[in-house]
Amino acid sequence: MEMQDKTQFEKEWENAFADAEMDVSTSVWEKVELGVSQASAGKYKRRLLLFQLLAAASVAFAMTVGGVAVYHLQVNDLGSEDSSIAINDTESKERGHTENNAQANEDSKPDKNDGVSSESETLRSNYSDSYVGGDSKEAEGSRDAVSKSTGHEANDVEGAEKSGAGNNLANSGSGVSIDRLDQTDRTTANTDYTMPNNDGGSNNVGDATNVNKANGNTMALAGKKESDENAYSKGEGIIDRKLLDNVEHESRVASSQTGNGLNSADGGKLPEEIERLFEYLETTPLEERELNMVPWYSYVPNKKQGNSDGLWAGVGFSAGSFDPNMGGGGAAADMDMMETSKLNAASKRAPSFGKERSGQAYNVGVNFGTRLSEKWVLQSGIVYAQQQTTSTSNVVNTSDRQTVKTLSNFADMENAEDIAFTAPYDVNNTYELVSVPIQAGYVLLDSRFNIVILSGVANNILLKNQISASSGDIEDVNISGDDSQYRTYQLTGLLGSEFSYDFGEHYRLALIPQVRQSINSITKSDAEYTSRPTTLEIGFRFKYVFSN
Amino acid sequence: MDSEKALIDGCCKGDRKAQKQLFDLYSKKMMVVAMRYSKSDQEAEDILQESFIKIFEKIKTFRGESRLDFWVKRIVINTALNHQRSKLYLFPMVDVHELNFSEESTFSLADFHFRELLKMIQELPSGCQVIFNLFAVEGYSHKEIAQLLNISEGTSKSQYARAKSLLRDKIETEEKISYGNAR
Repeated sequence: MEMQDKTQFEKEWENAFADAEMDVSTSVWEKVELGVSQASAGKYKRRLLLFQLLAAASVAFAMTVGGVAVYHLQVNDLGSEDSSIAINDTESKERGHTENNAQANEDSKPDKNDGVSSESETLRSNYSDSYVGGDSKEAEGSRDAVSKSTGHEANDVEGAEKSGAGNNLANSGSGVSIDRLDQTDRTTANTDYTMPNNDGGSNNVGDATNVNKANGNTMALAGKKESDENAYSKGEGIIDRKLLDNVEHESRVASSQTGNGLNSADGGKLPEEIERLFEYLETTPLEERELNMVPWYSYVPNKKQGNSDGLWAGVGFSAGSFDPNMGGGGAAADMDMMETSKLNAASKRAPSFGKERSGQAYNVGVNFGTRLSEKWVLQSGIVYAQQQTTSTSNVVNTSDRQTVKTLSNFADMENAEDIAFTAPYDVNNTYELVSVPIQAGYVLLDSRFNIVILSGVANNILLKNQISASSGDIEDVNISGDDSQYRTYQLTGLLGSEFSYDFGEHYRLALIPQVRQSINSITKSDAEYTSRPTTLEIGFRFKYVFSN
Repeated sequence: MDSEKALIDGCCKGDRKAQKQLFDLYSKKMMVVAMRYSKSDQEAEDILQESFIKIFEKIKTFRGESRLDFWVKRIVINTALNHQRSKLYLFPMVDVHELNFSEESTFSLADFHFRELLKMIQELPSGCQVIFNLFAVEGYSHKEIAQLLNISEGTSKSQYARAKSLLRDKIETEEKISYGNAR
């Protein structure tokens, strides 16, 4: 501050107020005290907001990933089912099956069958060169069904004069290819390709003579039908990429139409087809079937080899915000209590208990879990939980005439023999519980980095409820059992996600954002308030994974 | 000094007893300060309450570079100014060069109780009240007041001159009344 040239006037005024003091109303301190409490609570809330936002973001992220993954899983499953049937089908044709072959030869006229089978061989041999597929196991029923449908396709492409083979095949019980006529016209190349499936078995795979012959026949057929040129113009046995793509597409169509055929087929033939499909499912090795159903995210690097984490145990800690979500109560209760004999009739003051405000929750415990299947896990444990809220009160319990005890609600006040009014003070409510959570988890990502969506319930046993005043002059009160307005047993729903990372062979560190929502009110039915607390928390867990 | 440090440490830790002690120590003096910047007891109490909440929030930032009572007083003044800021309409009232700042050597406030003086100050227009307090009682220069209130130095001087003039009139009136009563 700059020095000013003070005149007598200023000096007189300065001196007049130099030692001046005025009494301050007691309400000012009460308001200051309340304001400081609220300010510190606000500061804490801001700090908690970070955790809340982090937890909310994590849960939202997990749910988004889960949704996308489930969507992809469904799409991939549909695709893999179709393509698996198609691939198995075509591959099995490559290997040759006398059963099909015999049926094709039997049903087809020799001259037409020659042409058809030659074409088939051409395409098959070309396809064999181009396509690299895994080993196909025995799937005779399925192959039979598909080969029949492809036989009909051949008939469609070749025209009515070649219809004998296809019709015969269709009549033999597939009932599959009837609906395909329009589509096969549209995708002639595909249809042409599917023909060899029919007759592939009739020739030895890799037989050079047959292949050459087929090429020649293919050229001849190409001249007959304009649409066939696309497929056969390169009679040298080169199938372009487009053709292969079409093949794949057609295989899917064939598969889906197999289903349609089953639906539309007459009742007598339906069980036979179902039997064949089930035969495929039963006879194809599990690994192969699973391979076709592996979702995209399983191909991320560092995929674990085998499930070595059958059982795990760990210790964990979590913290977050605790919102008691109190409802009920109100001015009516205040008025009721004004009439109680415990109150000084002369007093104009009313007891005022503020509803519990959001606080924080801490959990610490041990957990264990096991993997039920490739995608499902089950976990449980025992957790010590502490939840804290704040409220305000202007009444204390003076029943024992020696000490002043905290009072924070009307229920406790009713039990008190004598009470006294004070300046408003902050009350800290601390709940201590033992919780036994049981959660099922769906594994979204299973590699070195893991994502699991968790859902379940927690069985909570309330150990005690401690009510303490922020002022040191007022004693704490512990309430439990029948005296407490809270239920001893509480049930809470859990929803969260676990992001974990594997360290070495046995150790795993997990981050678990989680929401806990009380399923019913944690207060007793006769309590003035209802409370269904919500906890938004972030947990850390260190796990030891036992190897199988 | 040690007790003051202990008090500050206690307040930093949020100890309610220490906070109450600090409040008791300074609230009476600060109530007078708040009264000088307000128009009523209620407004002064509001300023005082808001000031002490700020004090307890900010006490961690107090580094002991000035006296604690000065630091507390500055917070009360700033809070009061914030309270008054919306109500202030500060503009040059008269040409400051035309004002006569000559002092009367016989001027004395010794006969007045500070409550009477407080009443006189509270009756001043808001702008005059604030600038009079800042200049005459707190000891700020017009340049500092101009910066503090974001006004020109001339405005500060003219407002002060107006306040001074009004107070002289009030004091003279009160003196005449007192003199008349005495006779």
